[in-house]
Amino acid sequence: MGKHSLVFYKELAAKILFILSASAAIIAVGLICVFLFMQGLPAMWDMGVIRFLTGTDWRPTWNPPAFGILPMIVGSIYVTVGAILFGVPIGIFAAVFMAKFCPAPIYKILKPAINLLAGIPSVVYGYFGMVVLVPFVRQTFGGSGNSILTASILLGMMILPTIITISESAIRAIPGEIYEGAIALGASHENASYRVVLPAAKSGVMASVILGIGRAVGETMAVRMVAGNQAVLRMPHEFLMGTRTLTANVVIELGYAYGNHRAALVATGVVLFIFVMIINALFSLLKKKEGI
Amino acid sequence: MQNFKRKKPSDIILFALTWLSIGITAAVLVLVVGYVLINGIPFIRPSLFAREFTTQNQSLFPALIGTLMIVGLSLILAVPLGVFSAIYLVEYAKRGSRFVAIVRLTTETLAGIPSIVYGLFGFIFFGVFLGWGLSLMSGSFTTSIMILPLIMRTTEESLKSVPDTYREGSFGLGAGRLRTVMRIILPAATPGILAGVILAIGRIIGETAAIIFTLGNVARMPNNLFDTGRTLSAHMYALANEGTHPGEAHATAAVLLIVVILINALSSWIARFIRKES
Amino acid sequence: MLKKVIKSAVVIAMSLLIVGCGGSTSEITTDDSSGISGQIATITREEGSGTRGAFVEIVDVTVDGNDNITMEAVVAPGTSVMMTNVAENPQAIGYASTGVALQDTRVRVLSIDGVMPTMENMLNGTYAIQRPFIIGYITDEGLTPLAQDFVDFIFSAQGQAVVAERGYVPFIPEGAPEYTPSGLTGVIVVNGSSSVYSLMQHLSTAYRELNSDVTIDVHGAGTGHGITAARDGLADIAMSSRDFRESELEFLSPLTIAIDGIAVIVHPSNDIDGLTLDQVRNIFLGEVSQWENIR
Repeated sequence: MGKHSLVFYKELAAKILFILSASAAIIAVGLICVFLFMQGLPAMWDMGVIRFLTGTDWRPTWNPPAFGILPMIVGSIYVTVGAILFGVPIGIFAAVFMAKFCPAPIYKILKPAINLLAGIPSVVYGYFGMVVLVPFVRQTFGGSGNSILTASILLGMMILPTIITISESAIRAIPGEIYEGAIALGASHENASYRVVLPAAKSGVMASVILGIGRAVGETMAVRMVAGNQAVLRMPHEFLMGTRTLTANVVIELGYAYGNHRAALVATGVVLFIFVMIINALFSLLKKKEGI
Repeated sequence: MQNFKRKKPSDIILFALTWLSIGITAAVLVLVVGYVLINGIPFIRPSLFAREFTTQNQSLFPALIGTLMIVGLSLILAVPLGVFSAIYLVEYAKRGSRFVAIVRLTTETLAGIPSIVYGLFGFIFFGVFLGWGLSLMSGSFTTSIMILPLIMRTTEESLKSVPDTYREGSFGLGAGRLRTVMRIILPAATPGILAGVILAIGRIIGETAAIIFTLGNVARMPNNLFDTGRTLSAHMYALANEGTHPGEAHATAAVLLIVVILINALSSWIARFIRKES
Repeated sequence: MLKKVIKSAVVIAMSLLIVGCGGSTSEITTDDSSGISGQIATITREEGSGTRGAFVEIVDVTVDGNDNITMEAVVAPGTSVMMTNVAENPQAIGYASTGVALQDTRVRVLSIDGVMPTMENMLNGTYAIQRPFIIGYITDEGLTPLAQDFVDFIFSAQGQAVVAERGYVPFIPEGAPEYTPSGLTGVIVVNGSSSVYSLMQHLSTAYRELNSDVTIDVHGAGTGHGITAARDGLADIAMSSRDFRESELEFLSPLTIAIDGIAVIVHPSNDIDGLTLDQVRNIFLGEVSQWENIR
């Protein structure tokens, strides 16, 4: 009896430890929500939620100050859409290459190379963007070079590995018979890969795109070095002008901010957080629907 | 390839686009890595690794040690939590339980939160609310939350890949659940967990936004847990902002990249090891 | 599906053009005969930066007392981003501390109202855009003996020599007393302006060469942050790149350690030698947007 109960208590203690550990993620998300919202929402409320979200003037040091983050919301959307335009087509084609076209010796080099692309710190990307991409865009397209376009290209580069890696494994997960069946029916290698296998892997590819969007929206350090950071509401055709993203707004000014200004920056963080939550929700919805 | 004659124009276009895309991807890598290394390596000199930072040497050594400390502390916090949660999810929890659904949802949420939001949260909660200020504690707690989902996910994957025959065999021999998990399953899953840990290390090393608001960015080694310091990425950020030492900034970028390359090499080596085992 | 593919093809072809040529950074040469022309690319520091605050105040880029630098100006977070932007863009105009700008050969420093920001011109006050570098401590509490020793060092011949070496104007240009190490030990925390940060780091390095048992933590979190930190007891010394406000003087005692000019900088290919203070003001207000309207 005594020995039995010792094992029993050991098992019980372990189980409780494991459950507590599993709760850590829940606690963390809870704390993040509570503390961000506690600091950000009252400030947003005081400023007027509508005025904060739709205001086009960001003049934190003025007397009286103006805190309108619409230019930053729109800026974040522009650079994210831009990143998708650049990163997604290239990423998907490259993923098909990795899964269906790549000769084995090249794969051995490319696979770690793409992993490396994912591991390069964003400060390094930002630095590269500032000294290489910005002058390039200025000389090719005009403008100051610090622009929505530049940020889009840089972000497109940064989301490439996410898209390639996840799409590649989605494509690989499609049973070989599907491809072979298409070939047997007379399809060419390209046709079978792109019109049969790729559509079959649609949901996994979509998942990679959504994760890429998440990375692009949240990117901070690189964007702030190339986007120009003007808190001005832009129209889509002004893609050669600069913009400021939500993330850049926080990282540029948090060091200086106190009082209402700091609260407004935390509120900016809250808006960013909600943005990401929406993207995550889309992702889970997709997963549920497609049963990935 | 064998039926090249039957190729239609659309096939040729697709073929060209595929190679083009992978060419662009490779070009991006070569451009970024090449640019950083070519510009940085000539500036790497012994003084960059001097024990103490001075304005003359701009030594990255304190930042390197700071990075090791942050990485070590975050792993101490996140690895047990992540591994235990994964054990619960895979070995204990009933399928379809509400608790599991919530854990998964929150884990995915954590994985998607941008680092600047982690920085804000760490600053508000650990720094201000708990009064830890800019310190190793604030920094490592913040980064450990960041890497928790990564460790959980990779551990889950590797636990799942342990064949059920292991479990059945162990239970059959009369071992309890805990003993089975600790003695049989966990050892079999270790290489996979290790791969996840190395990915997590890479993520911490590359992190800047969350670090500068929690660990701070002071050019010296932390003396204790509640002391401030900087990591290599934060050091790079500081050098790139000040602009008074462009050569050292280049060199630091190169060193940072070399560290990342080494970590990547290590992780693919482990991945290869796993494949050989299975 | 094929339509989608072809659409993507166009996008990819475009991006190839862009990414593929990304490596070339050849310089645009401005037309020598007619001089600089076209859109002015105004580059400013971020809101809250001490350099921006002082620049706006002295050049009076204000409307109703509020900072009114054109919203179209590229915001360069950090001195280095500013320098790189100006160094790379032939159309650019920006501003930076003379301590940095005069030592960076990638940019050209303009004269203001015909006066260059040389050490001499800042000392005799003819260069208009200059500001003090100030350190402050809590009046009621005074300085700790160790912090006092560090301050003594800053105002010594050795300390002021460091100031001059870095391209700033020493507060005591000549005849500062010699400093002798005191043998004290401990920690000094300094926080504040990111503009003073670089100089303070050089001062602390020089001080620690003489007092190896002293640790000095220099944080460059911004002027406002530094003052709050000092008030909350988190810093011994606050750094500021502007004069203290009246509300701050109620609890802070200021000491000016150096004078720093703010240089107006352009790309080396720009053929303009100087601007008037008024021209600078109009450019940064966004009222003049073309280089040809300057000459």
